[in-house]
Formats: sequence, C-alpha cells, structure tokens
Amino acid sequence: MKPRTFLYFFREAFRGLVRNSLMSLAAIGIITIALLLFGLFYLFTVNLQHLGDLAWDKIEIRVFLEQNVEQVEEIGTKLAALPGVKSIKFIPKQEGAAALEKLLGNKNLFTEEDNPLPHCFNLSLTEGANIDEISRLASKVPGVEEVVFGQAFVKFLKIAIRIGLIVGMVFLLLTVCAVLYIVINTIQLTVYARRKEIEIMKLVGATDAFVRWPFLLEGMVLGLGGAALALILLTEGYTILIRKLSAYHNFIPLLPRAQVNSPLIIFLFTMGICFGAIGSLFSIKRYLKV
Amino acid sequence: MILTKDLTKIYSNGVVALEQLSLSVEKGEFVFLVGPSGAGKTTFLNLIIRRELPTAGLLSVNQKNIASLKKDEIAFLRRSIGVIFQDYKLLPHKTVYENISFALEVIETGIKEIKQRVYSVLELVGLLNKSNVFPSELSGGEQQRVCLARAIVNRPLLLLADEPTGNLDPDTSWEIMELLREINKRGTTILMATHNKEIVDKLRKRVIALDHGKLIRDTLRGGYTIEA
Ligand SMILES: Nc1ncnc2c1ncn2[C@@H]1O[C@H](COP(=O)(O)OP(=O)(O)OP(=O)(O)O)[C@@H](O)[C@H]1O
Ligand SMILES: [Mg+2]
Repeated sequence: MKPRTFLYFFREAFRGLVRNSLMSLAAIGIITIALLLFGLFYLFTVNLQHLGDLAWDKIEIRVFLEQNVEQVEEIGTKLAALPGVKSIKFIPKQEGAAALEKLLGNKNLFTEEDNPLPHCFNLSLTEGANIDEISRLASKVPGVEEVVFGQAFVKFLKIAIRIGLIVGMVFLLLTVCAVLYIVINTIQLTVYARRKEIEIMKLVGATDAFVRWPFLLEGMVLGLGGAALALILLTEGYTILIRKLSAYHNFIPLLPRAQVNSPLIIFLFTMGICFGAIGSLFSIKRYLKV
Repeated sequence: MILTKDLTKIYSNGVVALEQLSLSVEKGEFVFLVGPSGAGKTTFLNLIIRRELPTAGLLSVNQKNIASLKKDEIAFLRRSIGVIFQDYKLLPHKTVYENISFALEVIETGIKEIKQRVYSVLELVGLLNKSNVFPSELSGGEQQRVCLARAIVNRPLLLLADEPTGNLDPDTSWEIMELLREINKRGTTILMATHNKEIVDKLRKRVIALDHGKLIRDTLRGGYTIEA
C-alpha cells in the first residue's frame, strides 16, 4: 500500500465520523457509559483491596517473655530478624502494668517488686506475611513464653480478602465482556449505516484491507473518545467523593487519586482503543463478503 | 474474454438460476443478453464479477477460473471489469464527481490521474456541468450516465451493463446506447442484459437468449425474438 493511501484512510475515517456525527456521538456516549461501568467496578475493587491491606497492617503479634529474662535486647534482635516482621515495639512489664491499672481504674494493683506481668514485644508485619509461621518461629526463640495474636480475626480477614479479590476479578471480567459486547454492537450500527459504500468499494475492486482501514481507525477514535470521557468523569467523580468522605468520615481511607489515575488511564484507553478496533473488524467482516 | 462450460448456478433457496450454460464471448464483442424476467441474466453477470460462486461447471474470465480466485485476485479481476448495475448503486451523499472518483480512489489511483480521468468520462457522458450535483438531483437518464461513467472510468476490458436503459424514455435510451457503442468501438467488450426489444432489433448485434436459466438461442446479428 502506498504511503499516500494512509492519508486517505485517515481522511476517510475523519469524514466518516463527521458525516455520521450524530451516530458517532451516540457511539462515544455508549462506550463512555460502558467504560464508566468498568471504571466504577475497578475503583470499588481496588479500594476494597486497599481496606483489606489496611486491616492487615493493624494486626500485631504479641510475644510475651518469660519472667526475669535477662537478655531482652538479644530476644528483640532475633524477633526483628524474623521474615515478615516489619517492626517491633518493646513494652516493659512496668508499662504493661500501668496500662492494666488504668484499664481497671485501680492504681495500686502492682508494685515494682510484685509485678507478675511479663515483658512483651509487639510485632507488626509486612504485607502478606505468614502469621502462623512467624508465631511458630517466635515461640521458639529462647526466653519467649507465649505468642498471642487474634487467630480468629486473622482467619476471617484472610478469607474476606480472598473472597473480595475473587468477586472483584469476576465482576471486572464480566464488565470487560459487557463493554466489549456493547462496543461491538455500537460500532456495528455505524458500519451498518455505510454498508452500501462498502459494497460498492468491493465491487469496483478495493481489497479487503483497503476497505477495513478507515473503519478500523474510526472504531479506534470512537473508543478513544469514550475512554477519554469516561476517564474525566471517573477521576473527577472520585476526587469529589474523596473530598466529601474526608469532610464527614475521616476514617474511611480511600486510595488517593494519584494512585488510581495511571491504572485507570491504562485500562480505559487500552480497552477503548482495542475494543473499538475489534468492534470495527468484527462488524465489517460480514459486509466484506461481496 | 468469457468462457463457460456447463455453468450452473443454484441458489441456496433451491432456485436454479442458470443451468448448464456453455458459451464464449470474444474480446471486442458487443453482446445482448435477453430473456424474460427471472431468466438468469443478472445471475450470469454476478457470476462474472464473482459476486456469486458457480454451483457447477466452469466459468473463466480473462483466462482465469472464477471459482478458484483468491480474495485479492477477485479485487484485481474486478478492476478490469466495469459494471452498470440494475439498481445504479450510487452513493447519495457523494456528488457526481465523488461517486466516480471514489471508484478510482479505492484502487489507489494517483490524485492527478483521478482528476483527469473523471473529467474525461464526465465529458464523454455529457455531465461536466453536473459534476458537483448529488444523485438525488439528477434525472433517471443522468443517473444512468453517472453509472456508466463510473463503470468505464478505470478503462475496463469488459463492461457489463444490466438493463442500462431500464427506466428511460426512448430518446434517452438511445443516447445511452450511442455511448455504449462508442465505448465498444474503443475496444471494450460489452455484455448488456436488456428487455429493450426495439434497441436489440435495431442494432443487430449478437444476441444470447436465456429462459429459466437455459441457453435457448445464440445468434450473431440477431433480434430480440426468433421471428425478428
Ligand atoms: N440472491 C438470490 N438468492 C436466491 N435466488 C435468487 C437470487 N438472485 C436471483 N435469484 C433467483 O434466480 C432467478 C434468476 O434471477 P435473475 O436476477 O438472474 O434474473 P434476471 O434475468 O436478471 O431477471 P430480470 O430481468 O427481472 O432482472 C430468479 O428466479 C430469482 O428469483
Ligand atoms: Mg436482472
């Protein structure tokens, strides 16, 4: 194909868009809505995921030491070195006693000499750390009496995160299919409107590739337009949502906009452009059989 | 130019449109294809440009077996055949000029050449003054001439004309026929399907008559019916 021919393709694609401008706008609108749906599910899923991570961060393992151990510092070093431990915090028995006294409202429960509480280390974990393994290893450190964490809560959280991930993925996949379906059907309409033109092109001897190109470009432009609109609506809407939420409920920590921006851009534009192209190729196929 | 042997076309709905047709058309001939409605004239033309595939038998155009052409070969074959369609097939949103230049653009003809060729065929069919008009603003005869112009703009070896005088008054019909004869004189082979008795009888060209898909008569210098 001659280089000049590609200029022709761009010109024809542009003409097609302008000539059927109402149809093109409708197509962009529908693609926007479809991608918006996808974007909403995406934001919902990543934020759910984010909440799960936050909850995970709050999990701590408490390591109680034997009474009267000497090498507290050494134990701390060993615990901090365990795989999956992000940081450790030492809580001496005096502090534990003070906390307990405060909790019970009785200030004279313990004395310096008579304090049955053990020294304690609080371990916070890195993301995805294996709690069971850490607690097993920690309990083996000499001088450690007991390791305690909220087993039931951890189990629940693990399952919840997994279910959230699976459900999110399934729904995202479903919306991807829905978007593809909608885009194909929409572009089918714009191709249908020009079936006569395609027929004549074929009858006067245009090759399939030649007929296809302008439609391919047109489909990609429609997808691109839909993606751009959906992106603007989503990111602006998300910003407003974050602002509203932070005004009323400080404690719902949504992912910041900067962190969802680039995946949204990549997903929406890839889907818009690819699906537009696929939609065009798919729609034009049957009209090429002339 | 065209060679058929036992050419048969049965549509998927079971209609036998052509049955064991054997004939040949030489380069430079002017042939009328006659027969009652439904005889298979349009079907034959559609087979020649490979809009339809033969069900059985052989059809070769330009020494090429139609049935075994690949996609791009079909495109290139069509570039050497001009067609005046029974239903015109003009694009309503394109001007007369654009309708004709379109046929050249889509086969990647150079811009300068397109311009020069389109104006030259517009002059030939006498529509230079209507080049910027849309088809809906033209009379039937003028639309027919636009179709003719588009069909010959790529200087085809073979011109297929399906009822090119279909809806035209006698004078306009003769104008079209004059153009076709002129084009034929310049070397283009012409195959014209028609119901126009007067024209066939007067011009005394080769006549191929079909009925119910069968070849019933093939006469040089023939008439529309046997008696004529
Ligand atoms: N695409 C098709 N599918 C099924 N049957 C068809 C198709 N095209 C034509 N036919 C049938 O094939 C037969 C021949 O039709 P064709 O159009 O070739 O006739 P024709 O000689 O051109 O008639 P007319 O003079 O009315 O144009 C008719 O019975 C018609 O109904
Ligand atoms: Mg016909």
